[in-house]
Amino acid sequence: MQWFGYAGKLLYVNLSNGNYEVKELAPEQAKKYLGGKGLAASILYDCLQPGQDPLGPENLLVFATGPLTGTLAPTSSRMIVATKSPLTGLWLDSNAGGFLGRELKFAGYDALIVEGKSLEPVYILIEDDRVELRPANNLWGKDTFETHQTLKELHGTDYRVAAIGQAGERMDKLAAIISEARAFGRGGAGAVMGSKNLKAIVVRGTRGINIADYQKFVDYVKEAFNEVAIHPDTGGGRNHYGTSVIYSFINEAGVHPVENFRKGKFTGTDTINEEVLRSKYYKKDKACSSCPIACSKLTKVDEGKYQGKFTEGPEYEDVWSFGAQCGNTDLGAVIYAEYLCDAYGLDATSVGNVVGFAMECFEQGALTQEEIGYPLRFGDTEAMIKTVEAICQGQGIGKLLAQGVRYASEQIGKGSEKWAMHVKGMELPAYDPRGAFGMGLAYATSDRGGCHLRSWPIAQEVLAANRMDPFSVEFKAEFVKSEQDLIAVIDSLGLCLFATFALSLKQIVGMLSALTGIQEFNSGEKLMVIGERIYNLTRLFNLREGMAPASDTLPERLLTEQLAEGPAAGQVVPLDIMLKEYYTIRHWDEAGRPLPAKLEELGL
Amino acid sequence: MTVKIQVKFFAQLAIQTGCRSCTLEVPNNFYQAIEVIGARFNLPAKEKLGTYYSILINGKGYSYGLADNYELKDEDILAFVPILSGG
Repeated sequence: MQWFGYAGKLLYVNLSNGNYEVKELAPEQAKKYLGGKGLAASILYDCLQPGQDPLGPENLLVFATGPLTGTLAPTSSRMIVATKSPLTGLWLDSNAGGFLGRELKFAGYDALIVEGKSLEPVYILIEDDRVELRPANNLWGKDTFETHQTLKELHGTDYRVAAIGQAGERMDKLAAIISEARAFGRGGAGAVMGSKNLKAIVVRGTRGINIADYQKFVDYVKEAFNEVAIHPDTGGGRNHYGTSVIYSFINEAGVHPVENFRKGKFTGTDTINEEVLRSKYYKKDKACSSCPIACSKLTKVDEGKYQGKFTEGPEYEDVWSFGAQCGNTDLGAVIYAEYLCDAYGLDATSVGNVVGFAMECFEQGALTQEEIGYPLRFGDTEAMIKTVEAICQGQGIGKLLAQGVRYASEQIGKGSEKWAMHVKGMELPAYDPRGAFGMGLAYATSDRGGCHLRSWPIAQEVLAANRMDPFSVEFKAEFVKSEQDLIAVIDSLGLCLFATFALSLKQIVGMLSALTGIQEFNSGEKLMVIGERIYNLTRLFNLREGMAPASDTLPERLLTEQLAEGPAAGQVVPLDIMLKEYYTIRHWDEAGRPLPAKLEELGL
Repeated sequence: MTVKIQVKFFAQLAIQTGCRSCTLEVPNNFYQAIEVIGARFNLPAKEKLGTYYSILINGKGYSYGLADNYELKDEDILAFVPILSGG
């Protein structure tokens, strides 16, 4: 079959026996699940037996591109890694930009599926048709920067690399996969890679991508680039400040969690905000493949205690996690903390969250100075950095904290479960849903746990044009359901979510149809059905893994403890009302199981 | 009648206006106030409200529960926020 947009092939690499196999992508699979997240969901649902240990050899690690990945479409750099998460025990897909996805497509594969476990450390080398396992003993123990450098010196700078650091080697549940400073960050995919003794993936592809209707595709792409360029977000603030652009007014709206979600408005913003980041630390822009936004900002500390430290970022989430979450007002320390997470291969959002949790444990007496080794109070920047270093090095209290807040709170006990800010085991990010109720429903029903990237109602509740009342439950269930389906589509196409701020679904359909020539993709309605199918499939995956219906909830603090001050003062999240309505709209039963008629309608 | 309020501009609006925060005396009627602020900072305040930027009054969005004759009070905080979508 002649494929357009797709490479048409799936590469299976078995680390246990060292063999690899190239399989044809089934046209029906592409039409039903698009690619990226959808393709990975279908592979994992079909091929992974339920109940497997996420860190056992049976678990699969799927790197999947979408049909738009690697094309000229704006922000089409994205690739996902999917697996059973060691952090949650449930579905995980983690998405990153950069260049790896494009390179895999150019090498001739829509997805790489890693099976089994190598006896010795290895890396996978892919050069178009040539696929090899290479020894990685000399790389084991190196951080991600050293690993990238060594592999690029060996193979060439045009080879694209994804690697784990020491955290992944130790199988820490917060371990990430880093690809040229972009992170497949959340949920512990780095630990799965480490469990397979797989240190890195190195890819070089020299093939192109076929386009069904070249002229039409280019016309749609030009229009899309223009939309992205003139939009006040993608062509304005995000381009100038990066993702931290929202920092000050998220705080102004009282939804910026402070000191482990005890408060919603940070008072340390004179030294920690998007303007200071830009004027004092910013050095240059960096963009992913085919991206005109260039939201990635390279920063460096020029003076003070952290002089010389640098990072790509920090992103808004990490300015929060190592800022307000820990009561820290030193942006230099934030940059250093993020550098450490990238180097050792850790999810910076979760690491900051768990440090804030440990600070609360110390202040509440659940962790003592003897257990930690030093006092660990909110606002103590030096203690925060010590703890991040301990997590990175797997030493002392860091060894426990590197397994995430749920596990850490279970081990610490003493009522600390109440302060563990997670959903389904994944640490919450940088928005307090007591000031934006829809965000609470989005967290509770996210298929991978506490995450803001499945639905983002806060954009409509607080940002954008305040189209929804943040303190009302009205329309929240419809919005969250619809956006979860839409984002499942975007994550399956290979586009960045940021593109959706500027592009309509109609424009995306135009590019996709011209690229692939596939009739099943020629309307927004059809794509939304595919998105709904994907979201139901990941739900089925989670239910099959034993997820209890009661898991669709929020930490007790958000349901029962009112914020004392700020715009959201006196609020808690009325989750039950929204959740019941959400199940009804999704055609799921009262326990959150998809009804047979819905599954039949979706072809599941 | 006029009131003294704090006006804040965020992200690229702070660059555009050259101001992150200031105190201004403005009419107490919300819509008249944003006209005055728009003229002062050369912003097409009313025309682009909701499409190019949004406003928070004391941290809460303007567009729900705001009467046509909504009156500002002394020490209110009016925050002008460009249309942005997430981090």
